[in-house]
Amino acid sequence: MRAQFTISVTSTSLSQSLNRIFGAFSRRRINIQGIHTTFNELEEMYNTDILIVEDASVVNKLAAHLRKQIDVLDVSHEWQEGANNEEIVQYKVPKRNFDKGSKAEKLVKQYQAKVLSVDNETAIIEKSGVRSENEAFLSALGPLGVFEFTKMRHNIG
Amino acid sequence: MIPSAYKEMTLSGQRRIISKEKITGSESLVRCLLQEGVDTIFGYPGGAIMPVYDSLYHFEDEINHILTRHEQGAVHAAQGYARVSGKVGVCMATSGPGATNLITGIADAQIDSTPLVCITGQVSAHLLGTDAFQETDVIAISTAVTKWNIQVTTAKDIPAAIAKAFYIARSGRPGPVVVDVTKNAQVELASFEYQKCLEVKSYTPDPVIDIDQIDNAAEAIKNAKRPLIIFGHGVIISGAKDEFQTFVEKSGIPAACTIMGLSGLNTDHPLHMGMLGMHGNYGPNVLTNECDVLIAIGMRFDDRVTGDTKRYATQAKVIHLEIDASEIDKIIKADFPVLGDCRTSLKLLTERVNAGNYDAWINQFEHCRKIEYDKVIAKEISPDSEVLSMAEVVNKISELSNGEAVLVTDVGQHQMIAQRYYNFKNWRSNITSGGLGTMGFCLPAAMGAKVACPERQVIAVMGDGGFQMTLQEMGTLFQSQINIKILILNNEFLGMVRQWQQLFFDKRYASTTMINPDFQTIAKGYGVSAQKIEKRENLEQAIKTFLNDTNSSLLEVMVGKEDNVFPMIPSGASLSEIKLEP
Ligand SMILES: Cc1ncc(C[n+]2csc(CCOP(=O)(O)OP(=O)(O)O)c2C)c(N)n1
Repeated sequence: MRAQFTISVTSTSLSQSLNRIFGAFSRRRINIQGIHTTFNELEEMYNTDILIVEDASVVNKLAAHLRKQIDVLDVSHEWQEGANNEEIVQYKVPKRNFDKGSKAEKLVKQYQAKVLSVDNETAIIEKSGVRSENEAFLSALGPLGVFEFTKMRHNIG
Repeated sequence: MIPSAYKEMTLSGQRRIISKEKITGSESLVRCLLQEGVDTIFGYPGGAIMPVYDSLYHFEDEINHILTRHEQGAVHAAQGYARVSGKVGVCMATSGPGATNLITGIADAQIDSTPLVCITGQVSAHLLGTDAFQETDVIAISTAVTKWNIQVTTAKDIPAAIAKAFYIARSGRPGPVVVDVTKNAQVELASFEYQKCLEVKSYTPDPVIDIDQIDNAAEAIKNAKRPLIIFGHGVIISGAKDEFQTFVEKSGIPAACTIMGLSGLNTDHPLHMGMLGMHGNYGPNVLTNECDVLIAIGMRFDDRVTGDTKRYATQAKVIHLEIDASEIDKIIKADFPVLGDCRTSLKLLTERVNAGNYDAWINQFEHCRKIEYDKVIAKEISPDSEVLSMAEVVNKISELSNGEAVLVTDVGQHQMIAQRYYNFKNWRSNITSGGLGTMGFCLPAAMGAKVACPERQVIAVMGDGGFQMTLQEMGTLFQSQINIKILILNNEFLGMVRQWQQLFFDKRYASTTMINPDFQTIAKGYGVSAQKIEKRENLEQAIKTFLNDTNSSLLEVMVGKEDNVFPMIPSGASLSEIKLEP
């Protein structure tokens, strides 16, 4: 059964291992939904979290393949469920629809999102929550205009 | 010998070579190769690797550089060298087209687990990413087909990169490594210090064997009534010649091999039941689906071996001895995995198994062998038709070379026939492109094999198609005085593809007919003596002349144009659906 997984890859060198890591996904035609990398200066290691939706059996084989790459120290994968499914989504929206008292402003309150920044043209809105909540917010926001949005997993690092 | 400018130091038991003076990166590279025991390099020069060639010039007595006619020839030669000797094969090319010409061979080495270090020149570091002349991102291009790769941009980093490259290429499950060296790194000066690499933090090449896994596997074998061993290239790579034979003989279990496992056990060993796979033997294929315990050793359940995996050995408990953890459960679920070098695990397993009585089970193989003999083999080695068959030629070559040669094959019908009919008597004697199926592999690989083992006879078996993919390497044979035997089984077709067109595309022979040049004339132009025969009565004498020639020689044999290779498991079918005739 397909489910959402986070694959965490610890590698000694990012530039050398990135191509190999992503190659393992692309040759299996696995769509990457989110990536986040952190550098651990003390240990001089990189940790890359990669979010995918796949069958557990495919994920096991993928992890075994990643594990054998020379610059990869460790690979773990966890099934994203409940709290672990938290994500942060940022939306870039047209400023004109987000004036005080507008429908958009009400949506922001209703969905417990927040306005991060505003310039002449655009506003950036951020919302965290489980996937289904974020999807509901996007559906509500969509008709008011969304230029683009980016997703990150919550509690990474 | 280390020149006086260098001193040898021992640091906690490890040998370290240190130079007093600074030397160029290219000299450093050559000195690293010497430290790794390299005596032969196959390569082709060009702008971005010229400093290294200049350094090689000063080391001509210590390193034999064999100039091939194409970089693909260099990499396949390095593969042949590595496969027959078990050592790391080394090849070298310039940047851009030189490097990209290596890629097919690198991919071939990756899938067939062949240890290679491929050194490529690269444009100077300050030009990287500028689309400079002959710049290609060889690191990106080769990533998917290498075990590891690295770009070196300063002279001081060369020794550590080369040391790591050799360690990674040869350890664990071997594979190809690319070291891309920018030109500035080749010409800069740096002090030289070489220390062999003995470990890499993020890499466990030789997993510690879990005794529980051995015990579980041994228990499964003890309870088996119809066990079958299937072995692959891993047995050869691990050097488990004696360990494997002892296991087979002590347990009395029948064994069958993949193409890559051929010559891991003598073909005529009483417990060798033949070859698995699409064109393998009837018995081992069908009886895979009847055994109760399947003991897979150093093999990876390639689709050519399993056919339809949903109908593959579903009745059997599977034991899988394998060094690469990612192979376990990849295709076929192992009930009893044994992770580790099979040379060690076989020893441990042998201690725990006793001889079983499998006579009735072995009789089933004999019965199948007879069926295959009557329906296929007899007709192939003694055909009624006037036209020669591939099988009778290979059979005769096997007899006249006493099964002792290194047999190097290309890809196609002749490959399958050669592997089916050559009676291997020596270990490490079958060199073929198994996983990638690379036409053009044979001639240069045979060349490399001969350079590695000059005392052995090397016979290269090719089709008229594959020969023409790398025939320019006869120039290398000529220049470097390498003596190999080139057998062309000429059916004037791209035979294997034609066979599929006949069987699965209603005989529409789209672009598989070959109108060939005069191979004898071409060979003679390269100083290779040549004969061509069409008649059975000339076969034996022609083969004797061919094999006894003290220089390279070529024998072209005209064979049945539309002969097919059988048995055959149609693609995607179950092993039980193997066909003995169309
Ligand atoms: C580089 C490459 N191109 C294409 C193929 C596909 N292919 C597999 S077998 C074959 C025919 C080989 O013909 P030939 O060398 O004459 O040998 P035969 O099958 O006739 O013995 C072809 C084209 C291949 N394996 N490798």
